[in-house]
Amino acid sequence: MIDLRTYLFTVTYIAIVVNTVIALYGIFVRPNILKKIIALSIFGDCTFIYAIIIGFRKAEPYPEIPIMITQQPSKEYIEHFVAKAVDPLPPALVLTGVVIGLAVMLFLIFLSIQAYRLFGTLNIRKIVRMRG
Amino acid sequence: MSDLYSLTPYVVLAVSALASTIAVYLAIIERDLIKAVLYSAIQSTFYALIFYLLMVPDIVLVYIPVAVGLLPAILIIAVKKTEKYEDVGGVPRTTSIIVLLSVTVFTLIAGYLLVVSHAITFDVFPSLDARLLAKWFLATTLWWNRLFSSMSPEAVTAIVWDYRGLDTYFETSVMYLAIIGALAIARYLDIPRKEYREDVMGMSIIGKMSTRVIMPMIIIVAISIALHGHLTPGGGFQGGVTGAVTVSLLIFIFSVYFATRFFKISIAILLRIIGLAGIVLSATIVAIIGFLIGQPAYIFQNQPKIIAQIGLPYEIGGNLISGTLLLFNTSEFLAVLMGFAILFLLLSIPEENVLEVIKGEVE
Repeated sequence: MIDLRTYLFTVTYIAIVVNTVIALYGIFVRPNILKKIIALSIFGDCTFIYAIIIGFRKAEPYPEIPIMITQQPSKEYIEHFVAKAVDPLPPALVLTGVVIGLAVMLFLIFLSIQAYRLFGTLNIRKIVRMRG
Repeated sequence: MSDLYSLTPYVVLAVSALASTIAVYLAIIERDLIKAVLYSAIQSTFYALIFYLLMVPDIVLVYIPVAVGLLPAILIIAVKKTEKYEDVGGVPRTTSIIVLLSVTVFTLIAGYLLVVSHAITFDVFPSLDARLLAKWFLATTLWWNRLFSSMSPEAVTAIVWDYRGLDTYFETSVMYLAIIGALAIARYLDIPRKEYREDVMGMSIIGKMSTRVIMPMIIIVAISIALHGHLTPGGGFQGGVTGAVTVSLLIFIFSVYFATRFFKISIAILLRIIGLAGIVLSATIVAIIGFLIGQPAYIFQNQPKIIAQIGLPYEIGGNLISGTLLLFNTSEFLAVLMGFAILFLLLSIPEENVLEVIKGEVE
């Protein structure tokens, strides 16, 4: 008998995989540079969700956030915390990833606006033909 | 009943993941770029819900301002400055099918490798046990023995600065380089001097009035998120991007001339340098103290360790400050907020002025 929670979690994972495929398709096929940037940001978000899924765990009745609610934890509380809380390392890595992602996206948007000023179009195929 | 209670988060998780798939499909297939940006914002909302249900409130706090607020706003400015519709002519059907197939194969291989490497196990999914490293992090984040602990109840902030400080250092460098690059592209440009006029510029009076009411609240929430970073979900990054929302509101709802009343690009650069200096200081302050009193100490050290037994106090008068974490959060808040403020101000320079400067450069 398969656990219903496992089934629902697998559905989530597969949905994120499908999102990754669609986003990569958008990056490669759509001609507009801004559309490519939108697809790239969606692809990055999917990657972040993979990282968080790796750190997630099943606990009864539910897992806890990796933050202590007391300032003087007893030995029993620390044992309970270690047994229930999710992995705090992926959130720490994703946290820096989100901020770097935004900074790089802003820089890319800057570059594409500059490209529009110089070439008069954002269609990558037209730009390639212009210079080729 | 208790079954239903424990099942609900998983049902919401699956439903929001499926809904996000629809939003992603619409965002990629839509030809009107403004609509595509809005669909991607809807996708980000569902992703924020997924992050919340996967028990990572820190990511939710940084993800909502970034992916639902700032990125769509900037993309809409960019679409307005460039083409509004995407021209999809000239893409052969066979090419797109081949690309779709190869992308699918690539993603399936990547997903299979995740399973092979035991990062994700399908027999118990999600896994019952955390990794050994995670257990170590969780057990020592606030512990009776200072020699092994970072003395902060917030495990994520403790890892961001105490265990993996170099990551943060290089993250700050990447953001610094992105801003330098933007400043280099926008050299010779400056925001034109113009008087702000309430009746002509910006949105309607309703938008302006509600923004005036909301603005102080956003600033207070941002500062509170940053200063409580070592106790509750949040930290310098989250507070900084939340604070950057106020700058974007000032520019969108009022106008850039109203925003320049409060700060100019040069002042924002100066405040950002102060923030960066604070980050460097919090990385080296223990090493400096150790050098002054003649004891061994390390860069990126916070609490005393066995071979370097000095460190900052983790509490002052009963208030937990977790050593350098408070200083780090404050300066990171300043650096991130002012970095995004600079980028927003540069993006909001009117196009006529830019074209004049560029014309001179191209010819």
